[in-house]
Amino acid sequence: MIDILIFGILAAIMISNVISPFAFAMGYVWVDIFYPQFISYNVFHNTPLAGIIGGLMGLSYVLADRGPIPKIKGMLALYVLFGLDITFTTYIAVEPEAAWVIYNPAVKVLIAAAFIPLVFRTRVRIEAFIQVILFAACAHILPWGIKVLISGGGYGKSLGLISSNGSALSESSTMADFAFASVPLFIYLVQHNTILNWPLRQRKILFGGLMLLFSVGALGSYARTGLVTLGMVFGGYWLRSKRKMLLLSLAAVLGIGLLISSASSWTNRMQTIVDYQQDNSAETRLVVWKWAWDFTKDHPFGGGFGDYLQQNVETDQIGPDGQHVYVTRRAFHSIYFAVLAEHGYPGLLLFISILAGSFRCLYKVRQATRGLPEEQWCYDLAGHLQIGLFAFLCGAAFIDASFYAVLWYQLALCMCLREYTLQNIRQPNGAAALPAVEPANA
Amino acid sequence: MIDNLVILFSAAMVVYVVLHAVMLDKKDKMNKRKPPKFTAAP
Repeated sequence: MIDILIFGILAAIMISNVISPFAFAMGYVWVDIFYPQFISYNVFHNTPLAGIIGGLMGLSYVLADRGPIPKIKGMLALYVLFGLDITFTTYIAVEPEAAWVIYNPAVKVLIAAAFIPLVFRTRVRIEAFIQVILFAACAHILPWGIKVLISGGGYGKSLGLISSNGSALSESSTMADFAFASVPLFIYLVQHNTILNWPLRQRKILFGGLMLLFSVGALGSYARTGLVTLGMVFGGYWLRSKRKMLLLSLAAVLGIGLLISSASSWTNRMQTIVDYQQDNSAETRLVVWKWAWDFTKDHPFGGGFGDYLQQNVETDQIGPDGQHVYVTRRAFHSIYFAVLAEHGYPGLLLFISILAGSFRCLYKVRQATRGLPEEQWCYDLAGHLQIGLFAFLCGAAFIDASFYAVLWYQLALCMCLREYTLQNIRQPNGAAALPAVEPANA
Repeated sequence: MIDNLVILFSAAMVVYVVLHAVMLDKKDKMNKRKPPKFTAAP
């Protein structure tokens, strides 16, 4: 049944590509988030769908959908440099076998993220991109929300669509991080939506319901990362709000309600954010981060993907046998320490530059579209994305999501918006917006 | 059961978005290709 459904979606994408040649790009985004190869047990299980659709996406762009020359050259250069850097560190990796296995999906997501602004360059396309990401993510996050409502959540429970850590969103912390970070995008889709151009009330019901289920799923996963992200999303809107006291009171009421209604196991787990010495998993993270820092001092260009396999650190904790506990082969649980240890100082510098560049893109978009009624959607989207991306990156300080599609597609969205404004708005001070110049072959 | 329903919902919404987006994109392009209308000055 699942295979028939996947085949149906692929058929719809292929037919759509005949109508407009950017459908394969949406198909690629869907495959990268939904992971049909992990969900299918038959035909598509071993099919390299991402490779096939990625190839068709590139071909479709070159043959029928080439747009104007991109103006976000600086950002694209950073992506190329970062791609070269991760290739170099994979060549010098201390664990070459593991490194090449991890390199493959990492470089693919980087190429896709750099390619996306070339394809998603109009309002309809940008909104389609956001909605394909969110509806594909629904398949992984909604099961959490619904099952938590029915039977309650819990730490270490596997309530997602894929039980193992097969994809980004099957891991509870990453799921919780993205679930809360996507709230600003849902708010945007309620405010502006050319594709689901339904009455406002219907949009509120659909996206409000999804937001609620995403939030319930994230809280029910007991992932502390989710609470960090939620705090940041709230903080972002609070700072921008004109009614700060009202928002603060509302948050206090909701927070107290959550504390009263939640199980004591949930509050105990969340308490370990503050009392991290009481929690093994939190303390282990500190040990691993220190190892990453020390490792980079010895390997300034990084140890390549999978270098954590060399980890063997004695901790202060005493095990049941009376001996010191050793931390071995633990993932970094932080995108920043992961990039630092795997790709060294140059890698971290490039990574931070891409993040900073993405926020600069959003800032410039807001500057260019402020006061333009026709571009209000762009101004609002950039504003929501600033909050969502910042919250995601704060949460990602505690998860290993450095090359997950959900991160890189958000960064790609920043470039899409910047490219859109550079191509369509001639006067950044907001005097006049001009229509896009369509290429001859479009 | 829940998983299958969620997959169905997700798939239906993705297909809806993809189909509507390509239609709107096509319409956008057609509109841009149309020659500008000239009207007589009042």
